[in-house]
Amino acid sequence: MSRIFTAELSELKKIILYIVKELESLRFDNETVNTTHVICDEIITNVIKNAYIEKPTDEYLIKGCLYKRPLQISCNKKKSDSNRVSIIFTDWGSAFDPLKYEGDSRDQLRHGGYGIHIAVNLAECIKYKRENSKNILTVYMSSK
Amino acid sequence: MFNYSFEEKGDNTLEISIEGGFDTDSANKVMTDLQSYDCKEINFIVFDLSKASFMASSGLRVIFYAETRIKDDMKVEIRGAQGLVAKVLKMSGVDKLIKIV
Repeated sequence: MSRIFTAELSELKKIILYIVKELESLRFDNETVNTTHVICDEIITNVIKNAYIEKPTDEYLIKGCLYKRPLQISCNKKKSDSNRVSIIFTDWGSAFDPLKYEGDSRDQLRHGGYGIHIAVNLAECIKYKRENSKNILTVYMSSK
Repeated sequence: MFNYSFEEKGDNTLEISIEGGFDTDSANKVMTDLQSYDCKEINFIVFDLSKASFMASSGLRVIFYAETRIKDDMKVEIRGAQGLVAKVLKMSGVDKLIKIV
């Protein structure tokens, strides 16, 4: 099941709450839910701040509806492994591969831009692909 | 459930206590209050994270704001970090820049 949100700071809390509720409904443990909360906070904040900088007012036709600054989120549980979930973040903004992002200098830490480093290191597994002008980022997490 | 408090402890010390998740939404609230707080007499800020359940990079930004932007001689210390909060602090290398107790 997926939902499309608007990538704006005012929507951040609502988007994270959607993911947290999905994980809680799958009976994920508290520690994994909190870790996933941090990862999602970093990824979504990055999309909000950067993805649509070049085309902030463009509209995108998705499943018959027009959206501005769309961010689609899908939480899927693997049938073969009930303890593992994949969270897929799809945006239609500028290409950005977080796995190639070097954000670990002390100077960068003081001036921000460190969130992606935290997300990549906290996640069990992250995969990125650019497909049909979309950034598709998949985060895998397992309950303990 | 997120909660926070600012409390002056004497000796020009301000203690900022964080309870619950210190994510972007909650960090923005703390940052807004810190930016408007009268720090003329404050030269030491303690972040008590003993009741924080997790912290995102936006929480780190609040701590760095306290250290670098309020006044030149401001000292900052982080206390009580554990679990996921301690993990994020270590991962980010904050311990090389700010004292963690």
